[in-house]
Amino acid sequence: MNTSSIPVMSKIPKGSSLWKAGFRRFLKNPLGLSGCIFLCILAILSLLAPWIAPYSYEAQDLSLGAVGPNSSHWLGTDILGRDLFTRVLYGGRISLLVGFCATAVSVLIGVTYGAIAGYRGGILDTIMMRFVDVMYAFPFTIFVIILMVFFDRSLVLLFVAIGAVEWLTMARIVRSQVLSIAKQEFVEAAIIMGLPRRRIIFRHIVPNILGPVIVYTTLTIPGVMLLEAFLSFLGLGVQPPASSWGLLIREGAESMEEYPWLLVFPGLMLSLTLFSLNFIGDGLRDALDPRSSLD
Amino acid sequence: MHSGTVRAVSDVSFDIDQGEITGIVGESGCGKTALCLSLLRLIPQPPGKIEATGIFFKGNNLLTCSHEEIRRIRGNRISMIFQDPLSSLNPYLKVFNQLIEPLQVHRGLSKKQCLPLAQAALDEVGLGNSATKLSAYPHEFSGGMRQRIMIAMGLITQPDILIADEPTTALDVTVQAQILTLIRSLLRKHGMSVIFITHNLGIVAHLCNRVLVMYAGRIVEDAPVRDLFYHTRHPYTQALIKSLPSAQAPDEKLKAIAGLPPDLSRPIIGCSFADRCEFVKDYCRNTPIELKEVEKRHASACMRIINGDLLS
Repeated sequence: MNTSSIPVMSKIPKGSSLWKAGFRRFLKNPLGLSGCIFLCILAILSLLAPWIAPYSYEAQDLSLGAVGPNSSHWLGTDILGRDLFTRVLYGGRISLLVGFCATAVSVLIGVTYGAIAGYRGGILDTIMMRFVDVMYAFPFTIFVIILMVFFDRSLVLLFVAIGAVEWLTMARIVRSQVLSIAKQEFVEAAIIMGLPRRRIIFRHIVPNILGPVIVYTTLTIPGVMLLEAFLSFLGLGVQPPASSWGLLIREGAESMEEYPWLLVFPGLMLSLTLFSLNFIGDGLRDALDPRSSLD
Repeated sequence: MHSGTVRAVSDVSFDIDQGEITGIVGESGCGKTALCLSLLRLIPQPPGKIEATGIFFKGNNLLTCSHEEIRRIRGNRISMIFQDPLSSLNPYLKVFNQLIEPLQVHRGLSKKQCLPLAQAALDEVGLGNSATKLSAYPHEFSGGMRQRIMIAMGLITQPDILIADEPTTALDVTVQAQILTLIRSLLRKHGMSVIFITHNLGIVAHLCNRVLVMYAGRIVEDAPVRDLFYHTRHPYTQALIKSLPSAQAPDEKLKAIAGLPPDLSRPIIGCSFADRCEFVKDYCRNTPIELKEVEKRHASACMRIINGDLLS
C-alpha cells in the first residue's frame, strides 16, 4: 500500500560543505592519496625517531668506517661510522619541520599581505605590490648569509629567512584571487549589509580563496625543503652532527664515487617526499576546483 | 567607442513614505539599480560620482555622513536584497552564520543570542524545520528557498526600508507568486517601506502602492499604482503597458517599442524618449525636460502632457 508517492527523507542529512565534497573527491585520487599516505608514514617515523632509531645520531664508530647497507646498518654508515638510517630519520625531522614551519610563516604573511592589497586596491595595492616586485629582485643567498653572519645560525633563523622569501609568491597569488572574488555578488552583498572591511576580507573572501592557497602551499613546501637543502649544502643551514637531508646529500655528494649509498638514500627520501607533496598538490587542486560538479 | 561620463541617473528626486511599497519600473539599463545603489552610497567614487542635494533618511544625510555612519545604516536600517540569491550568499558559510551576521555586526549579539532570532526569521519566511536548515549550505537549497533566506537576512534587523532589486526575476512564476505574497505580508507586519525594483509591470500592479517609471536614467512618471495604469500620463508608460501580451487576445502581434534606449554617455537635450515616441513634436527635442505634477500626486516628464497638449 502506498503511503505517499513522493519519497520523504526520514532524516535530513547534516549540511555538506564544499570542503567535505572536495575531501571526498581527493580521496578518490590514487596518486594524491598515496602521496598523502607516504607523507603520514614519514611524519610518524620522524616523530618516533628518538625511539625507533637503532643508534644515536652522534654515535661514531671510527673503526667501522663507511660500509654499505647490511643487517646491522640498514642503509650503511658514513666515513665516521655513523648509521645512515638514523641520520636519515633525524634528518627527516629537520627537513620536514623546516619545510612545514617556514611554509606556514610564508603563508601567514603572504595571505594577509595579498588579501589586504587585493581588497583595498588603489594606491595601497600599487605600493604593496611594487614592494613585492623589489623584494623579488633581492639576492636571497646574500640576504641569508648576512642574516647568518649577524645572528647565530639557528633553526629559527632558518625559518625566518626562508619564510621571508617564500611569502612573495603567495602574496601575489592571494592578491589575484582576492581581486576576482571581490567582484562576486556575495562580497557586494556583504558591503551592502554594512559589514566592516576586516570582517569581509577575513571571513568572506579568505575562505573562498583557500582552495588555490592550499594547493600552492603544498607546492611551496618542496621549494622550501630544497632551499633548506641548498643552504645546508652551502654550509649555511643545519650544522653537523645534527642532520638534515640537505646536509646528508652534501656529504654524500662529496664521496659519491666511493660510497654511493650516502648520496642515494637521502636523495631518494627527499625526492619521494617532494613527489608526494606534488601529487597531493595536484590532487587537491583537482578536488577543490569549484568548477568541478558537486556530488 | 568613446570615453566620457555616463549619466546613469539624472535629476531624480522622490520621497518614500513609511509603510509604502514603491515600485521602480523600467527596462534594463534605465538606471534603477544605479539609483538604489546611490541611495546607500554604494557607487564607487571614483570612478563614479553621486551628485545630489542630499539623501535624507531619518535626520541623516546619507550623501555627506561619515563612512562609519553609513556602514551602520546599511544592512541595519536600510537593507537590500538581490536578484540572484545563489551568488549573493557565501558558498563556504553555513546559512546560520550568514543569517545572523547582520545581528552580530549591528547589534553585537553573540551566536547563542542569535539562535532563537535566526529560527524565528526562517519560520517567518516559510522555511520550517529551521534547525536542520540553519546548518546547511546555500548550494543545498532551491532557488526559491534561497531567496527566502535572503529575505530573512534582509528583515532580521527589522529595517525601516527594504530595497528589493528584482528579487523574483530569477525565479519561476509559481515561486515568484509565493515570494511576492510573503513580501507583502511581512511588510504589513513590520510596517516597513519597500522599494521594489522590477521590469515586470504585472508585479507592480499586484504589489506596489506607488510607482516610479524610469527611462534613460530619468523618472518619467511618478504615480499611485491605479492611476499609473488607468490614467497613464506618459507615452513611454503607455507603450510599456501596451506591450504586455494580452490573455484576452492571444493571437495578437506583440507591440514592441521600436528603437533602442539612448546612449547615456552623450548629453541629451530635450526628451530622451523623443526618438521612439509616437506623439513626438518638435519642441519635445528642444526644451529641457523636468518632472512636474500634472494631477494630484501624479507627476509626468512628458512636455506635451505638462502643457496640456496631449491627452492619452
